[in-house]
Amino acid sequence: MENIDLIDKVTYEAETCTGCRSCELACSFHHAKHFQRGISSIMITPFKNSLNNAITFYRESAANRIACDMCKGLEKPICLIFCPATFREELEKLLKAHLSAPRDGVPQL
Amino acid sequence: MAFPNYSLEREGEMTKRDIYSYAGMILRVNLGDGSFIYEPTAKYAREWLGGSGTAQWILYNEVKPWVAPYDPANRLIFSVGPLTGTLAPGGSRMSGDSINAMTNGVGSSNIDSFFAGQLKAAGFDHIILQGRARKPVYLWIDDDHIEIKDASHLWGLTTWETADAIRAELGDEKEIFTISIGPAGENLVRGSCIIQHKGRAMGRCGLGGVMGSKNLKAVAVRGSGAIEVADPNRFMEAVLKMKESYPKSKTAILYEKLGIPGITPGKQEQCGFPYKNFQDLTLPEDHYEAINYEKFVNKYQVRVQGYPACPMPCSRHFRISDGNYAGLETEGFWFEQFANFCGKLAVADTRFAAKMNAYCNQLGLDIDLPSGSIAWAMECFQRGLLTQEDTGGIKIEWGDANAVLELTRMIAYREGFGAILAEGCAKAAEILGRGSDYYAMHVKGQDLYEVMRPAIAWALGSCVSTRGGGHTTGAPVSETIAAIDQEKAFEVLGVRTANDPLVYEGKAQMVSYFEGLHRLGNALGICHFTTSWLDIAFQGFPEMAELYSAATGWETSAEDLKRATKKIFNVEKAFNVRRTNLGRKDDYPPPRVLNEPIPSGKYAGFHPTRENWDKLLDEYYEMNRWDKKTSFPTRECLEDLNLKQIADDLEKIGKLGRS
Repeated sequence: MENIDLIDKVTYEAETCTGCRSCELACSFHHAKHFQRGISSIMITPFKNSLNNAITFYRESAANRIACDMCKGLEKPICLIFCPATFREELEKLLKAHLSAPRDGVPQL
Repeated sequence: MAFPNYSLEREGEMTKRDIYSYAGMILRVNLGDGSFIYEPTAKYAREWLGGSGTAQWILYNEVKPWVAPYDPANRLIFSVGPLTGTLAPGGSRMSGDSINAMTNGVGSSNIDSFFAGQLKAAGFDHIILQGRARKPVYLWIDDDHIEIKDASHLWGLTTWETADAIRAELGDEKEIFTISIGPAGENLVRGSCIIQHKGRAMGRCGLGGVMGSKNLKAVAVRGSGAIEVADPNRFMEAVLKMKESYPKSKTAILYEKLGIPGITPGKQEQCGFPYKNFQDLTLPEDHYEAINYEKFVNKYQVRVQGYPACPMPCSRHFRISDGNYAGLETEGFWFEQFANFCGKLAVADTRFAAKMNAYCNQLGLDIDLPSGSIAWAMECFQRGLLTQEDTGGIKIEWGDANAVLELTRMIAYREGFGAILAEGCAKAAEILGRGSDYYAMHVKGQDLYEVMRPAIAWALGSCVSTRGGGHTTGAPVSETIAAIDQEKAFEVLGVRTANDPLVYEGKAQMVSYFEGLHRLGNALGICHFTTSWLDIAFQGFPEMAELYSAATGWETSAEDLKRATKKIFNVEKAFNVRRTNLGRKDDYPPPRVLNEPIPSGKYAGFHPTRENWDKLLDEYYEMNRWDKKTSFPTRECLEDLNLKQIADDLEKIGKLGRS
């Protein structure tokens, strides 16, 4: 199995993310029509043991992960539909940002 | 420990693939000898829906009437529902069910959690725990790897320390979630609870002590599997349609902005604070000013916390930056913490509510237990029924934050006077005597936070609750919300009195509706706040029937679901009737509610009377087809629900209701 650490992904600190992880479920539904966090292109984790969360976007399909395709074919990315209103705008910005971020970079906002 | 390779195919039972939206398996663990087996969820799913519904049926059948809460033969069942772990609004719910350590009857308590989704992804709808481990252990479920692990080194730790220690030990800080007990559960404190990770309590019913009696410190889970729904497109369509109702709701907007304690001004206006053990229901002006919640949020909130599939995250993370509790970081809370600690115990400091919430979570104590029994003790102190001689030198006076913290610690460790308070106010009053039972604010032995004087349906729902008190098993919230959609309320509830807190008309019918709706949420794995309990426009029976049908592929109508919840409800009732001497006499509010007019505020002068309550109970029992004299279910009621076995059981012990 490929080493997940070497996959092309990009991580942001997300101060106001509520950490509900609904986006992960939504993303897996987009890709596979079922609910399974582990395959999602988006992942929410605690940010460096702080109270804040970090968001990772997978940009390459490997291991179990499926690359983010910006929900091709849908009106808007499904993660945005299920993201709580308090964070939705921020997530939209990050979604756009990750498209142009360098490989394996950890961009600061 | 070796995993017994129990193949379902070998047994000729239904396999996982025959059933959609459920995980498919039940894990049954005998802690006594460390053995475990799989059972198919399908055995129960269609009839009992899942979650708490299935768990209650298993308890009725497997726990014999003579078994006590802390006996090894008692079962402790953790359950998720068919909609848990999906994107159905509020689908993050799990349930803990067992004998209630406070009442000896129905025990059921549920939470939104991350644990639930992980458990389901690991492949399990229920964990049935029975027997008692010889030494402290914890259960580790990593998909199909099941292990009973030594917990000697965790015994004595708080729930927060336990969550951290287990994650460190198992080497995953992200995906492993725990439910654990703290010192209170270990010490068999009657009102101890189970905590998910570091917040979210399966609070009432004393399940923490049941877990402690089994020597089970924690359950840790990580799951990677998929949850498949039968018709993905139909399911998603139903979810998206349902989601439209939330942004339009005033309640949802308030919750998003401030969290649930945002209702504080409304509660103050509507006589909703249990000030000084419910003596008054409105806070004095200066006290109210001192606990301004909006200021608290603006000053200490770090961020909002949501749970999977929640359309309106209501929890918060706080960092207290000044005062006695500076440095405290904790996940935030509901109105109940404010009502209990700033109201019932009269401590005029919002930071104290945060501190006590965190402290109770760490110790694994239901917040209603210390606040209930300490409020009772404070009032006894006020009236001279209790002195420093009884308490080992501690003065128990209104608003004394330090005394409350010390007593809470003594409760959790059952030290000195704390051992009496640990039993809850009802039993503590029985131990003390001296007429102190008048000041014990409880239903069926379980401490109350529910204010019962202005809101009749809220009071009725709390009083007739099978688990004893509590407002999440049938008590409607709409009575004290000024602006509700009357037409929609009439359409859903069939009454025109949904927000009139002083009238009796229509209230039995409202309670009956919400008793069903809550059981549906608990069975399917849906958070109450996303249902028509909170806002009449939110999902109710028809919407959840559509979600359930699409998810399982079993075409199910709103009527089918209503009937299923009626069944679950009657199983709970029969569990109480068979095991305890609870009956009509236990469906009354505490004497204070029936005797003392509200002293001040909007509803000053009002209180429900015994005569009116009698009539209300008659109407309610008749609606349920229960015996008006005893409150026991009748044969007609049970047989119509296909529960003949229960009718026979009750007849055998002479406790079948007469029609």
